[in-house]
Amino acid sequence: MPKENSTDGTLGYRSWGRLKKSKSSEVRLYWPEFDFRAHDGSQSFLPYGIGRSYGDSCENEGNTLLCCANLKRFIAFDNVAGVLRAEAGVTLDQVLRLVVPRGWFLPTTPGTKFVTLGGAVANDVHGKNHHRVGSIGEHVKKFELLRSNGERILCSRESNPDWFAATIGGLGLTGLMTWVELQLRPIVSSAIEAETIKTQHFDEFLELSKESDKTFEHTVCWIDCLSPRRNLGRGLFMRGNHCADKGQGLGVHNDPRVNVPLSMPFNPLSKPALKAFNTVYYHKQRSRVVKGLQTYDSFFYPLDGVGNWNRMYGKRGFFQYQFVIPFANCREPMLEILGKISASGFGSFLGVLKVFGNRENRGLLSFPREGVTLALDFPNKGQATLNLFEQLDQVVLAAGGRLYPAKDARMSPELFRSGYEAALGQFEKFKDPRFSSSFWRRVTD
Amino acid sequence: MGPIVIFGATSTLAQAIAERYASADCSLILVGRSREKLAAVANHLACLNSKVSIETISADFENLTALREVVERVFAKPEAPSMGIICHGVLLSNAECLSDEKAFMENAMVNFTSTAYLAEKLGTALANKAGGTVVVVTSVAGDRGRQSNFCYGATKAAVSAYLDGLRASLADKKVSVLEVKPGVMDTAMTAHLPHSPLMASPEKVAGDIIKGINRGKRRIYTPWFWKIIMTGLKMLPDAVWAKVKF
Repeated sequence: MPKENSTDGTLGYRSWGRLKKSKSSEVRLYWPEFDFRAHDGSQSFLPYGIGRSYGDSCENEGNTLLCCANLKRFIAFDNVAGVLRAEAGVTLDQVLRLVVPRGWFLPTTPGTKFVTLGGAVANDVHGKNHHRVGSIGEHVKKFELLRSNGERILCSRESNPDWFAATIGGLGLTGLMTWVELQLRPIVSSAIEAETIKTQHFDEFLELSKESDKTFEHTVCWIDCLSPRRNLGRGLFMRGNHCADKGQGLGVHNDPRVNVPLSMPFNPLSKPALKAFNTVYYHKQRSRVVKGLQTYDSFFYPLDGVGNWNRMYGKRGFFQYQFVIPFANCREPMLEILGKISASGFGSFLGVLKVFGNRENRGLLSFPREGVTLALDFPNKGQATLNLFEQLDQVVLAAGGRLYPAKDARMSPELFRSGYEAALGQFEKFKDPRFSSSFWRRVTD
Repeated sequence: MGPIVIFGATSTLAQAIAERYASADCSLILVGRSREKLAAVANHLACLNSKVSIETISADFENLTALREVVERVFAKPEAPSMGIICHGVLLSNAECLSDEKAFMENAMVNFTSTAYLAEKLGTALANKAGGTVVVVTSVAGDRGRQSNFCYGATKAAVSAYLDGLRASLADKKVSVLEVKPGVMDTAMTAHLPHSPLMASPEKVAGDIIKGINRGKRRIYTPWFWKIIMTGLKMLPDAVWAKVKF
């Protein structure tokens, strides 16, 4: 009995930033198969995981989402070689629960474990160890791509390398990834030997990064973006290595402790509240250096402890602005940007600085490049926030930098083109003609 | 404890149940229609726990003889099953059933005939060994026939009545019968329905079922609030019920 397999026009929040509700049809997939021919050609498709992209790169307004959250079966796990093959909707949370007790860890991980493997590859996500191991695309061995013409393409560095490169960081536009095979990294214990160093200024961050990148696998810096002008870029520099002491065991993380059940009716994170919070958080650490063992959960995923923390920003939602600018001559533009943000007073609690290493990206549209990246949350205050972004865009553009599509909800087509120019022409050859996204239409039309 | 045999093992709910039992070191026998999907489920469970034995058997749920043979086969093993869970089913709309005789037959065959037949065969086989539990997934749709899906609901109501009698007949034979009445769940069977806040996750329902099994319950609603909803709906006068269009 043929069944109509799509539900019409559900209006809802589709992305993490909660900036607007987007209306799209959804097809919930339970098996890694989909008959594109059974659907008329007027609708475009976009694979959708669990909606942790911040802007509209995971939205397909007025069209159809292929919801992959139920493609969550493991396919094979080689415990000796540390190779895991799993369906594309498997989350990093699931992966960690499976592999950590067996002495393996993700090769690299973003700041949340609540993303799907398919989403991680489609955005070529990076982590605190980018300077050592690059982004996740470097550790993907293979995946299968289902195209809208029904063709299944096995992609790896050896087989169909051009499809492989287009799909890593390809924002889900080259087809539906059905499964992914990932090379894991071995660990002796699941604890992290971590150090937190209080920094006074952006310059100190640069020095510390330079020094730490040799001896620490993971480095990142939380910054107080509301700090006074003389302390631009002050923050807490965190660095760590996987602990080599077997005695620490291979314990797995717990479920989130608390949950934000409802969207706040207003934005409780007002300017004075945030400023006070950031100041307290910064000064809470009295001594310059604090060392100790941490769980991987608190080191990599501090925000995962609060379920639905995005609801904290209230009804209007929030933006995240993340860019990278080349390392050479990064100081002036970075200080200019930090100065503009500090002067505007629009920043928020979450601000992260990181130095990317010199790695060759596997993906055509991969975001990371050698340089300094800054990611910052901004409560949505309408036009005033957008005006600030436009000022920041100018600095990023002049410095030869680019923005991260996974975080973006508003960059102009010009800015996108200038950031990804070298690969765009090549990428378009591999984009599936029946796939599209709200983001893609916004930056290319 | 002997292995657990699950019928309709590739259903979304059955996968969630199997995941829980495999993680708890229980051996499983998975019976389903598609060999390919059974293999996918078995591979997943083997990744979760490489120590447990997972066997797969493909069967046609419209062939009672074949189903009986499956039961005979699994109970002929040295270690007989200790529990049978019946999860298979098909959700055909009233429109489909009433306009197509084949669909009408399929609805009754899969949702009632094969389910009821299997439940008795499993219960008797367990009684002949060391006893155990038969778990059958029905639906809140069986509590009162709705205008939009009474063909489906009626098969579930029939299974409920059948299980009441079966439970009584096995009461002194160390076999307990658990009827599970889930509300609407987010599964492959309901993929064509719009997402609603009442939709429960299969993981939540699987957890409730395992709790029900461990506590020796006879009948459970899951999530629990369906018991209240259905009690209310059952009390509506017929004249009012006729106005309820969903």
